[in-house]
Order: sequence, then structure tokens, then C-alpha cells
Amino acid sequence: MTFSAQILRTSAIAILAVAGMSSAYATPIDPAITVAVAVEPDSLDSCDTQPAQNANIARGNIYQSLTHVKPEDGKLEPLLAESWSQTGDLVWEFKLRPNVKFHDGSAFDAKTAAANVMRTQAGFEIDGKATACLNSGQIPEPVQAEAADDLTLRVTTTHPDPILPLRFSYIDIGGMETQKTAQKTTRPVGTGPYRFVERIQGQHIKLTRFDDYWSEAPQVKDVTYVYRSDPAVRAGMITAGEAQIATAISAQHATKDDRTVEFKDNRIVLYRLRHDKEPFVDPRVRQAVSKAIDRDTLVEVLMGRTGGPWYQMLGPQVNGYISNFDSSSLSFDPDGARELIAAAKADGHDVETEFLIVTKTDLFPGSNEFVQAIAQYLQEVGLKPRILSIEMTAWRTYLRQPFPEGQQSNMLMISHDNTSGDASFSYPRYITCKGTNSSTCNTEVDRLIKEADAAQADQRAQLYQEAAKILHLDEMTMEGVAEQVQLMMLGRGINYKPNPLTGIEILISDVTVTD
Amino acid sequence: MVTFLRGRLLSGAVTLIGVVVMVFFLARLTGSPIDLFFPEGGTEAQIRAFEQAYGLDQPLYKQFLIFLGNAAQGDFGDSIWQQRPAMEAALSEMPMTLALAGIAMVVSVVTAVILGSIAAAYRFRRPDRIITILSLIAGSVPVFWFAIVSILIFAIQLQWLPTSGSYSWKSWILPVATISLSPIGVLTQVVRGAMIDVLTSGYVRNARARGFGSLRLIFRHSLRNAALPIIAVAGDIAASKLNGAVIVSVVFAFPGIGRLIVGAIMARDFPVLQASIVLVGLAIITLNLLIDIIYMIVDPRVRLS
Amino acid sequence: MTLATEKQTNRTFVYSERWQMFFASPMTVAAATWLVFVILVAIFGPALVGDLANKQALLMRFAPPFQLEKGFQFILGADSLGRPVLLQLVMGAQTSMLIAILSVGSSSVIGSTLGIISGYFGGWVDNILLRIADIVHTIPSILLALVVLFILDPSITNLVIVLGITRIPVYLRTARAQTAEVRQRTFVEVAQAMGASDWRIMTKEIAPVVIPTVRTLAMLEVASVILAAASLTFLGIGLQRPTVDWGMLVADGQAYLETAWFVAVFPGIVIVLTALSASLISNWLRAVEDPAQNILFLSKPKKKRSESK
Repeated sequence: MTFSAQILRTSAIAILAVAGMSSAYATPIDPAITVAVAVEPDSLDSCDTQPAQNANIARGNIYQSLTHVKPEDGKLEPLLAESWSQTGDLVWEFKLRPNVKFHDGSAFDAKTAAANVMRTQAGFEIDGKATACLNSGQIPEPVQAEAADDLTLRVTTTHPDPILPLRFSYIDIGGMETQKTAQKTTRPVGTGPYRFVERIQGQHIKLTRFDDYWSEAPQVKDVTYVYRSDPAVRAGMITAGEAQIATAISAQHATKDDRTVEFKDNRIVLYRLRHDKEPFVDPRVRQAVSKAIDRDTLVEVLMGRTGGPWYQMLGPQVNGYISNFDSSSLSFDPDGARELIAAAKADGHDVETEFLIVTKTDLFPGSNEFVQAIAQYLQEVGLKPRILSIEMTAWRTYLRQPFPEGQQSNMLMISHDNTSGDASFSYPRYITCKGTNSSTCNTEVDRLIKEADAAQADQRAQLYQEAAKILHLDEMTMEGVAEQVQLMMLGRGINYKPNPLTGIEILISDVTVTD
Repeated sequence: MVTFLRGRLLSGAVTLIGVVVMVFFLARLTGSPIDLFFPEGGTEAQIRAFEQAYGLDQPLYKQFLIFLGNAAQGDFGDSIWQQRPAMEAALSEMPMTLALAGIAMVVSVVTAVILGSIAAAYRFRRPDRIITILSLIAGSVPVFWFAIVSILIFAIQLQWLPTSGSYSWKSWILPVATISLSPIGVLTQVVRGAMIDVLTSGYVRNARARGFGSLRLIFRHSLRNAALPIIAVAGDIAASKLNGAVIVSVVFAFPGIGRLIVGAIMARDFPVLQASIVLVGLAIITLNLLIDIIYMIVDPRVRLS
Repeated sequence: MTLATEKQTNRTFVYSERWQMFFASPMTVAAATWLVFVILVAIFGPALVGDLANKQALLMRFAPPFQLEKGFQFILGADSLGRPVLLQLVMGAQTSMLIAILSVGSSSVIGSTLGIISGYFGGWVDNILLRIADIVHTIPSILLALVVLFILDPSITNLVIVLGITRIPVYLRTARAQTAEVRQRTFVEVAQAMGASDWRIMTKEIAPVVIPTVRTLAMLEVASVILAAASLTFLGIGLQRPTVDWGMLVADGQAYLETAWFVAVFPGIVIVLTALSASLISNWLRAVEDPAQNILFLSKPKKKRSESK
């Protein structure tokens, strides 16, 4: 009896030990995770993946695109297209990946790809009904897409467009059913590793692993997305174990351990000055604005690990970024700023005109304080700012051309991201005379950008950078203040390495779970 | 009774139409959804397509007539953002709103009647003082602050309750507590005031002289007579819970039409806004009708008016 | 003895009675003291404090409270921009008091006047007023706020307009319900039989009965108005810095509850204290003006009463 009891005890210990080992090291089979995001997606249609809240869920999980930007180096890599080439000035051919299946069982082919490209820019084309796709802005000049054969997509552009393959990294491919109708789909069908299960609006979206996925099957089986607008709640859900991944975490809720991970997505906090209105008419005043702001202190104190001081409009991975930029003429020097303002005043400029600092509450977490601090810096050099913090639609009346008659002189706060790596997604809109979001008009800048748009590779980058130099050193209408760093929180046992594209695609296939 | 009901239904319809007209035009004063739909600025053709898809290309008065004509047939148009009919979106949020508002009102009224009556019975003595202070504090605590603090304490520190969502009965506790807090404070004061009025009026003093005990007096005779102002205030609070409770549903991610309405206002999703308002209007009108009926039951004299 | 002297003794009696009741309740004294203090701060504080309140010092960010070495203004700590919380409260006092008094004042006066008219006359007047109240009550206040603050400017005046309009129906319904009930009472019927004018009956007979209820409500509304203003700020359609009100301080501070509790907690305490005081004063007034109640009010501190005898 003693003996058998001994055996029992030993084996019990052994079993416990084994159980303990396995729970410490083994990877669970088919784990389910919950992801807490800040904003509910508006649409799950493949042609609406432009806004981050839609892309966060749909891109790369449900839908895939023909090409993809490699997060590590910003280079283009094949995805649903295996290769591509320019066969004429205006013509491109994409060789598509064979044996790819949609979630509904249908095969992916050139016809479907062409239909997606056409529907994204549809307008009135389908059924005579109007379709307005959020991705339409990714193809600013109309293109024609057709199937050359089963697996060859031929695309004809209106103007030479060297970065068409890059643009196609933003065109997500949905199943043929959806492409036939002007109506946006609520039951998305794509080729990605996860297929749509259900969506209860206002509550959650559920995805599950797609068994016929063309590439390697991911570890996580079920994903539930929930929306929590308060950052404290999102962080709390990780602590309480209710969620395994939480996005958009504020600096004050971040933990110091490796559960809080960070990434940069080439997002810059900018200000834009109305150069046509006093007090900003004289470039010296615009320079003084930049010199008045102590970016180092401001960003360190108010943004902590979520930001770093910045002087340009674009992030370091974009080809319009100037790598050896000399920012000394723009950096903090309040006395210099006062001298510049005094000189402008002496030349008859009305530097004491009151102007608005226009911002919106959700520019970034804590942005209202950030803007108040900027206002104080400007006051200290003798300018007369007044803060106007408004909601999105009102803010846009300040962003967009044409500016309403009689709009007060202003300094507009913008948070701009460029995940494509190409300045053509930023400069033409923001710093050319005809740009919809531009208050800059410099003929030399316009010329350089127009030339760059048609140029390739190094030459393209160089032209953009020359335009940027004029913008930042002569025009000074659009200057960076801070480079943003995004925070995410991970639950226990969750491994995920965020990358520069995490802001627009959180690939659940990159997530691994250990127990 | 039938004429009464007919009159109430008629006035309800007038209110509803008034609300719809006001909301239709007020909403359009806040700008257009186009700006939000084309974040980077669409082409001329895209913007035209969008306007046509949602009937925004027509002059305002025409849009209004089209809207009225369709609404009369029960068609409130499609949501601009949600890819489903606006009415469907509004209807899906309604059950939770009604449940949350109903539970919160029952909790508030019951608590307030008990606390208020005790306070009135012991007026100007210690129990009254304690109840008064507590109820006044309850009425003045910022709601979002209470919501966040209760999540920090009960969900994150103690982990007794979920932080948010609406999955089990546990997830109802914090939202109900949060939206009942201020009504309990307000109603307790109203109950106390009304009860003191009744208790100090002549006939109750007569009853007391005839030897009725204090608490029995309160629940048998006084509550009924103090009911009118209580019902009036409770009704107003209930109505505000039907289209309010925004902060609760935002912080706790609890479904509700209040959140849908705020979202629709911010996103300029006019069809959803209009459909939601019609539903909320209907609910409020039904509520008012109920209040009137309760009035009649409580105080037969009201029937005359 | 002339009639005049008799009246005068009567009045002195009433006054002394009131004051006796006032001092009999330490809570009422404390509440009145706090309110007077807040109003004095609201009137004179901002001028005394000047630019110091909005002076940011980033290096003082979240300086902890109850420490004197950084100067007395930092006794309640510093906010996220290093502004002294104490002085922010002083500035906020003016805005919050202005918003609360103007919007509660206007909505309660307009609302209860309309309510009495509605309840007294009944019929189509009642119908129209009630319909308008219902319409206003059903429209989401956030929509109204967005329209007003979108088209006009986010200023204190416009905020008062929005908050005032949205709260009118509450008073209207309350006053109307009581009026409808009071109208049936004998003293009103007697007055009507004696040929008193409608105006006279409404102001002399009905209003005194309705006012205490409205006042109880109005005093409680002080807090909700301050908080409603904060919610609007929260949604990005409220007041603009450097103007501050207490609700805004709570809203701004609540993001930092875990790291710097005092930024949101002190303004919260001030709001609660002020609302509490307003209501206590309202209770006192109510007791004083109701002859049946003031006996009870006084009968409580029995010892004191016998002492004073």
C-alpha cells in the first residue's frame, strides 16, 4: 500500500510536471483571439479599404492586393500578382498567381482582378448606378483594366505612370459577386488567410481561418474584433485578459514591459500656414513660427515615447524625405524669431493680426494639449494665436481648397501619413498650386513635382527632395513638428512584431500564440 | 377614453412630424457627408456619383419632399456608411436601448422612492441628512468620470466585472449603475420634496392626529398624492435616457441608439439620423402616453383635462 | 398701535425666524459660505490671478499636489501642461458660474412660465406648448449643439443658448403638472369665483406653489449643466482654450486618472461641492417659505430651541 501510494504520488507529480511543462512551452492549437480597436470600420467592401479603421481588419486578412509593400524596406513585392512589366508607355501587364481561391470557392483570375480595378474607380459604370469607393483616390487618373488571358491582367493608363504597380498595392481584390453590383457588400469575400464569419454592427466582427488559403496556414484560428473608443478601456482589456491585442494606446497607459510594443508608420504632425493672409504673408514670419517652437521639449514632455521632434513633411521611409536635411534655420530660437518678426513689421507687415490654430480633437491622443503648448510658444514671440479645436467636418473646411471667402488667417494642424513610400501620395495634394489640401504656390515646386511624377527610382526621389527643400527652406508654409510613434498592447503569450504598415494592416497571420 | 387616446395619438403624430422636419434641416446645416467620404478630395465624377447615389444632388426642398414621400411608405433610405437600410440600422439598436433605459429607470425610481420616503419620514434628522447629501452627490458626479473610475476599480483592479461590451448579465451592472446614478440623485430629492409637501399638508396631519403611524402613512396615503411631480420628472429622465445614454454606450461600448445618433451626426449620415430620430420619437411619444395613463390612474382628477 | 407698526413687528419676526433657522443648520451655513466664496472667486479671482493661470511650464507637468516649495499656486498640483490646478479652478469658477447661472436661470424662468401658462389655460395653448416642448426634448441636444456651434462660434453665449434651450422642456413639464393639479384646489377656485384675473391667479396663487419644486429641480440642474458643457467639450464641440470651465478640467484630466489623479479629481470635487451647496440652500429656502415645514425644521434641534427660550 505504501509502495503503490508512492508510485501514485510519483506519477501524479510526473503528470503535473509534464502538464506544467506543456502549458509553459507548447503552442496551443487553433487559438482564438480578440482585438480591441478604437474605431468601428465603416465598410468591409474591398473597394473601401482606404480608411485605417477598415483596412485594419480587412486588408491582408480578408482581402489581398496584386502587389504589396514590404514593410521592412518599403520595396514592392508580389502578392496576388507574381510579376509585372511595362509593355508600352501606357500599358502594363500583371502575371497573376495561379491556384488562388476566394472564400466562396471561386477561382481568382484576370477577369476578377480587372473587375475590381474598374469598380474601384467606377462612378456610374455598373448598372448605371453610382458607386463611390473610398479607394478611388488611389487611382487619380482613370485606367482601363482587362483580362489578356486567364492569368494576365492588362492595364492601360491615360498618362505614363511609373508607380502603377505601387498604386495597385492599395487595390484590394474581392470576389466576383460583389464586383457585378454597385452596392457595397456586407459579406466580404476575398483570397486572404481569414474568411468573414459575421458582423454585428456596433458590436463585433468575427473572422475564422480559411482552409483553402493558397499559402501557409496561420496559427490563430478565430479572430473577434471589438471597438472601444476610450484608450483606458482598450488598455484595461489587455490587463483584464478580455482582449489579446489592443491598438492606439496612449503613452500614459503603456506598460514598461514588452507587452507594449511600438512602431512608426511614417506619420508626421504638421502645421500648414495660410501664406496669403497676414501675419504669414512675409516668409520671415513663417520662419519665425518654426523657430518659436521648441520641438525637443514639446515632443519629449507631451508625447513621451509616442513621438520624436521632426522638421519635414514626410517620414524617413518616403522617397521625398531629405536624409541630410539641415534644419538649423528652423530650429528653436525665440530671440531669432522675434528679430524676424520685428523685421517683417518694419517692412509694413501686420504681424499682430490674430490667427486661428485650427485642430481637431482626435488628431492624435493628447493633441489638444500639444496645440495649446504651440500656442504659448507663438505668443511668447509676439504672435496672436487663438485655438479652434473642432470636429472633423468643420476642420475640413479649413483643410480643403477652395477656402471659403473671408476665412480667418490660420495655422492648420495636420497628422499626415504616407505608408506607400512614394511622395506622389503626399506632395501633389499638399504643396502644389492646384493641390486640394495646399496653401502653397511656388512655380518651381510645381515644376519639380510634375517632373518627378513621371520619373523613376532615384531620379524621382531626387526631384521630390528638391521640391521639399524649397518647401521647407523658402516657402516654410508646411513644416513638421513631430514624428509619431504608435503603441499597441499585447496580451500574455501573444507574439506580434509591429512594422511600418501595422497602422493600416494588422496581419493576424503574423501573430503567434504561446501559452 | 377613446377620444383621449385619439387626441394623444394625434398630438404624438404632430410632434413626430415636427421633430423630423427640424432634424432634417438642422442636420443639413452642419455640412455635407461628401467631405468625409473623400478624405483626399475626389474627382468631379466621383463626387457627382456619390451625390446622386444619396440624392444629395437635388435642391434641398426637393430632397425634403422625396424624403417625406418615401418615409410615408416606410422607406428611410440607405445608410451612407453602413451598407444597409437606415431603418434597419436604427431598429437593431433599439432593443438594447429600451432594455437599458427600462432597467435603469426601474432601479432609479425604486431606489429614489425608498430613499426619498425615508428622508421625508425622518425629515431634518440624521437619516434625511445622510440621504440628502448622498443623493446630491450622486446628482453631481460627472458621468464619464464615474464610468472610467468604475471600470478602473471593478474591471481592471478587482476584475469582478468586464470592462465593456454586452455579453453576459455582468456587463450590464456598470452601465446600469452609471446611468442610474444621476436619476437616483435627482429623483430622491423630488420624492423627498413632494412627500414633505404632502406630509405637512392638512389632511395628512389630520390622519396623523387620528393615529396613523408614520411609515404606513407614507406608503398608504402620501405616496399616491406625491406621485404627480415624481412621475413628471421620472418621465422626463426616461425620455432623455431613450435618446441619451451616449457617454455610457461610448465608454462601455454598449449598444444603443444614442451612440448611433451621435455617430450619424458626426458622420453626417442623414438617413440613419432621420430613421433613428423617428424611432426615438415614437418611443418617447409612447412613453408620454404611458405617463398620461399613469397620471389618470394615480389622480382621477386629471381625467377631466 | 397703528397698522404700520404691527406690520413691522411681523416682518422682524419673520426675518429673525429665518436667520434662526439658517444658523440652526450648520450644513446650510457651510453651503452658503461655500457658494458665497465661489461667487466671490468667480467675480474677483480671474482679475487677481491674471495670466498666471494659463501660464504653461512644461517642466512642471503633473507636479504633485500638497507641496509648497514650487509656490502656493501649485498646492493642488499642476496639469498636463504644468499649469497650476488651483488657478485653473479659479478661472473655471467664473466660466462655470456664468454658464450655470445663465442657462439654468433662463431655462427655468422660461420653462416654468410656459409650464404655468400651459397648465393653467389648458386647451390649445397647452397643446401647442406641449408639442413644442416635446419636439425640443426629442431632438438630440448634441445635434442642436453641433448646429449652433458649427454655424456660429463656440463661445460662452452660444453654449448658454444650447444648454438653455435643451433644458426648457423639463421645467415646462414639471411646472405644468403641478399647475394642472393646483388649479383644481379650492383656493384657486375661490380666487376665480372672486373674479381675480388670470394673471393674478397665476402669479399670486399658482406660482408660489410651483416655484419650490422648480427650484429644487433648478438647483440640481446646476451640476448637470456644468457637466453637459463638459460632455460637449469632450466631443470636440464645446468651449475653446484658454477659456476653461470646471467640466473641461475634469474632461481633460480624466485621461490621466491613473498617472495624475488630482488633475481630474479636484475639479470634480469642486463641482460636487458647488452643486451640493446649491441644493442645500434650495432645501433651506423651501423649508423657510413653507409655514408648515419651518415648524418641523425648527423642532429638530430641540435643545437649542429651549436654550434660546
